[in-house]
Amino acid sequence: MTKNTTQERRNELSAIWQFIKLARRLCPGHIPLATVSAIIDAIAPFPGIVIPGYILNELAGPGRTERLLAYIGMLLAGNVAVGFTGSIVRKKLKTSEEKLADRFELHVGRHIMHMDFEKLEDAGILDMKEKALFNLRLHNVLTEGPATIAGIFRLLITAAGVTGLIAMLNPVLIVALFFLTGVNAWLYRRVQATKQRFYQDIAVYNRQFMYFRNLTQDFTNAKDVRIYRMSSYILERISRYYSAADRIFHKMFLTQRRHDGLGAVIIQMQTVLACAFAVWGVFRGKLMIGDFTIYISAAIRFSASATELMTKLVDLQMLGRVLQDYLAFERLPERNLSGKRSADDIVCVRIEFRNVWFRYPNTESYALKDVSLIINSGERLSIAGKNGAGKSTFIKLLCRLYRPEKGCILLNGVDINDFEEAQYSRLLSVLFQDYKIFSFSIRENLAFDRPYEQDRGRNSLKKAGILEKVQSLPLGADTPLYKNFDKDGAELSGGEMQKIAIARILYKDAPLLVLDEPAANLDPYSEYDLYSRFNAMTEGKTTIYISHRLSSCRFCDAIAVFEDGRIVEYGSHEELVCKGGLYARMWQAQAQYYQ
Amino acid sequence: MKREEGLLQNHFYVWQCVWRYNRVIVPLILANTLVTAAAPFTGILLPRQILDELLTARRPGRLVLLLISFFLLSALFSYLTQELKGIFMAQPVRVTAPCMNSMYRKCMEISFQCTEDPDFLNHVQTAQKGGGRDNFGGISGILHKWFEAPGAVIALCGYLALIANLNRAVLIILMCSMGISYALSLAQKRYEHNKREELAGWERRSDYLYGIMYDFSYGKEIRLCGLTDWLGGQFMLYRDKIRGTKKSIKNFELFRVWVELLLSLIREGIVYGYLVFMVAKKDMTIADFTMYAAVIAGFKGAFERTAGHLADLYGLSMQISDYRTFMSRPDEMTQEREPQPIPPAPYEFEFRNVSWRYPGSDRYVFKDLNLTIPGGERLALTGRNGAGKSTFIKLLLRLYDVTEGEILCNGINIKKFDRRAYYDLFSAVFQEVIPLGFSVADNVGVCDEGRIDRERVDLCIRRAGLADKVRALRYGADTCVLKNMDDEGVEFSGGEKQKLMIARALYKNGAVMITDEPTAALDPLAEQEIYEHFDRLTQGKTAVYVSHRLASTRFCDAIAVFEDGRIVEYGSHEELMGRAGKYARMFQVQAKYYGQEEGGR
Repeated sequence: MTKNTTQERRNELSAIWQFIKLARRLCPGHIPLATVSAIIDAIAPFPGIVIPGYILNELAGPGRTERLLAYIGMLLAGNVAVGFTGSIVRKKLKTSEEKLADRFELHVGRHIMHMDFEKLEDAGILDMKEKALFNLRLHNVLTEGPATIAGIFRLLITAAGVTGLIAMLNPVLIVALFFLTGVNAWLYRRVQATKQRFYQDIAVYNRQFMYFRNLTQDFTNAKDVRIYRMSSYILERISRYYSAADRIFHKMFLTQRRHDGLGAVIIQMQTVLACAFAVWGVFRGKLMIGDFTIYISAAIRFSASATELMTKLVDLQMLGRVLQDYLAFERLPERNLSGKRSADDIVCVRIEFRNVWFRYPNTESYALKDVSLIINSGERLSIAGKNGAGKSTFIKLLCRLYRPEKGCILLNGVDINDFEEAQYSRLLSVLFQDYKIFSFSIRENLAFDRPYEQDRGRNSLKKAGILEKVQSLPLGADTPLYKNFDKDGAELSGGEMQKIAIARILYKDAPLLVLDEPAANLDPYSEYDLYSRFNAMTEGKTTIYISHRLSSCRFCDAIAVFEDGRIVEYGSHEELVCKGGLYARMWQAQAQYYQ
Repeated sequence: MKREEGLLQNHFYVWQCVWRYNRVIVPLILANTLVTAAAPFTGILLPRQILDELLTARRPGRLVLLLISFFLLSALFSYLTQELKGIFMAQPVRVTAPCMNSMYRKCMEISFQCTEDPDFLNHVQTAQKGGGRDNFGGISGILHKWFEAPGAVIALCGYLALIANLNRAVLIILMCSMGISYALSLAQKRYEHNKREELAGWERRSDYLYGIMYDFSYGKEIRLCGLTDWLGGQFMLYRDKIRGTKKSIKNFELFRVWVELLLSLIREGIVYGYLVFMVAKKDMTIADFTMYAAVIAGFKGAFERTAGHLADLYGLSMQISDYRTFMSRPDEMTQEREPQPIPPAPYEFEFRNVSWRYPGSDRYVFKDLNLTIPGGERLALTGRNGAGKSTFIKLLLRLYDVTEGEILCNGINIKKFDRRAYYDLFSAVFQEVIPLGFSVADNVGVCDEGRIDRERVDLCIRRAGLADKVRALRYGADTCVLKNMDDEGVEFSGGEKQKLMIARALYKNGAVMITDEPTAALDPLAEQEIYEHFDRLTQGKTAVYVSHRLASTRFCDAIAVFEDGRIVEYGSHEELMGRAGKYARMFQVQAKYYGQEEGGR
């Protein structure tokens, strides 16, 4: 058991060490600043402990006025100097702590954004992220963590100073004080062990509580909440949390207050003990009266520092534990950016899937089975199939979000993994089925951070059939989308948002165009517009079009029909309809209503 | 906007809540006040006695007695302090929990149009701090302060009394310096409070960006569009603004700290000088000197604590304002005081000269709209994107209120009904599909508020075409629909989620069925299945169906074609086809690619 706990301690310490190293990298000025601040705070109490004793000795003894004035001057000057520098350093430190926390969040955000994509769709990884971040937030690690570490440093200095002070006067006393502190530490550890258990009990509820609480304020589901009277259900769940938490905390505080009370008594015992020692010393004439006060102040400071140190050490342990979860998450590999090949000169794109097999991580069955397919430069391929047949998986592989398990994907004869990351994504314009529109201006939704070219923007919006609408908005392309941050934001309909998404990929103007259900929310005219502009839009580009609306298959050069991870049919619309297979059946299901 | 309420009323309000929800707090505060007021003085008075004894009579028995009583008293007080604190810690949440719950309820039941108003959203952010979401803020924080403040005030008075005993002039000097630094702390709290709305806006912004960076579902877009740097930069931009504002608060604080340092320098200089002078003149014993030195040192701490508590009581009370104004925030949608009872089915709806625009906007989405949906009829809405179909649904559901005109349900203005009772009429499937982190059964039967009929759940799952999927789950209908709530939860695909939403609508069995593009994510065969069952699903109900798939409009009794916020055509599929107008053109446009072709069938 002890072996395990030593190992645990070691892991915790190593996690904290890594955290410190990370902090140094993210915010290099922070650690020196924290050190200076800790030292100032650590020495701050000493003038108040020592100088009054000297004053008293002087008063009881020779009583020289100039000495007395000098002592008082020192005491006041010391307080002011420490207070003044301390306040400046503390302010800087606080800002620096905030900056560190912000940069840390950015650091984690960037890690997530750089992580291997296949990890993102792994439910286990999602869970790991949630747990790691939840604990970071619950324990305020980002703001409290560095402060805890600095606090321990500060307390160690103070405690050492005070110990030295007392030891100069009486070493026996210091042994007694240490002993009592040990007793207190033991008590404290016991409370913490119980508390740990309580926190574990509450963790499950906490997660659910946070979810339900967010539900009350996440107004994306506001309509459903109202129409389906969900408020009672959600509030009932929240109340369930409250009563569970109440029960658990009640028990926890009960244990805690007994122990804390006992601990407080021990601290008083330390003070009185010091007092008794001092009385004894003065009584025997071994101690001056001024030393008496130094003794007592030092002893009080000792027990206060020792107690605080204990709490901080337990916090540190908690920090270590929480950080381990986080560090495990951080260790997840980032995307493999090994490819070096440039794609600068590529204008035409020919794609080949060569015997591609693929299954999602942690699954048994293959999502793609032996898929071989060639899409020639400038060709338009349509992909059809039932829900879950592997169409979107096909796209994800092409986008290099996943790697094939067997087989390879070639672009102009080169394995796509050989290209440099940014270069490769430059080649693709992809409209995903679950495209995202951001609460930013239309302009930013098209060009993001790159400079917005007016003409190109207007052209793309026009091709997507949304230019008129955009021009009718008061701020044109500068209008923010959604109203959640701006009263003047535009609340566009689902179809209009989809057109913005189409405009975005046209704006990118890459040689390979992938459209996954681009017309799902479009009205018949807009759908027709899209179809009729399709030729112009895809001019000279290799295009892949996925749709459940099979009408779109008619103007593509070829159709690949997926079923259960395989390409079961391939050919032109006419060929496939004649063949009377799956495609013909699906076509018939839809076309019958229009005849 | 003016959101302040009287600060005293805020405290009064908190105490009302205490009285209503958890009265134990009152005796606890009284007891703690007594203990914490008395505790510091054992550490001041007893050492003085000891010192006095030591310097004068030096009776050993007396010294031992003093030491023992010193120990007993201080041990008693500190034990009681911890005990009371332990009992108290669990109490505030019993007051804040019901307060937060009513706030959550308000968030979920306030009219829908409020939830699209940035001002309301910012108010939610500040109000929940006021309500005591965090243990040491808002109502909860104020109770913690009330627990500690009175004892600290009394202790401070004790110090003052001791000092008054020493010299009146010193007392006056101390009082003045106290007044100045307290005024400064209040000013600081006010300054902080005035910055909170600015901060709330930026916090929501940076939270939004944080959400995008951390949300896995944005992963594809971020990777393919190379958004990492941009998003990170935007995130830091707002965080920098927040830090900048906080820095200005800190500068104010620094100024306050310096003034206080100066004050304490003057204060202590005078007092120490005076004490030394007294002792030198032999007007004061050394024991008294140490006691007064301890009093001065203790006074500083006690004063800082008290000023801190009082300033916090003031600052937190301003937070309570945010909560109270939120709770009394008028709903933009008026609620009839004596609502009409809901008439019996079937339901006929009439839009009479309805006009609507977003609050604050001067552009009308609808102008003078007239339409009747006869009871038991199935109406299809179609038309161009942005023509107002979804808005029409929101008006019909009374998620928005009309700007002009009226909507009648069986001849009664829908504003006359109780809003919740009116919502009960509808089963709706919206375009955005958002399943909740509940079990399948709870997702389907959520409207029954906990009395879910499992047989009916199974039936609806079957009718929505989801039975096979649910049967294959390890825990059947008890499986959680989101992975992050339950380790054994299962993520549904887009089509499955849509079917789940249909099952939920079926379970509710509202007298009116509303569906907004329910088949957008379904493959042709699944779509056909829904169409064929649609008849059965809507049996005898008034139904409104929004779709761009004109194939589906055929099943409806009437079709309304929207254009620019007006209804340009109305009639059955055959009539409209015969009229060869917009609908017919639209149908042809869509049918064009489905038309007969040389090789086909």
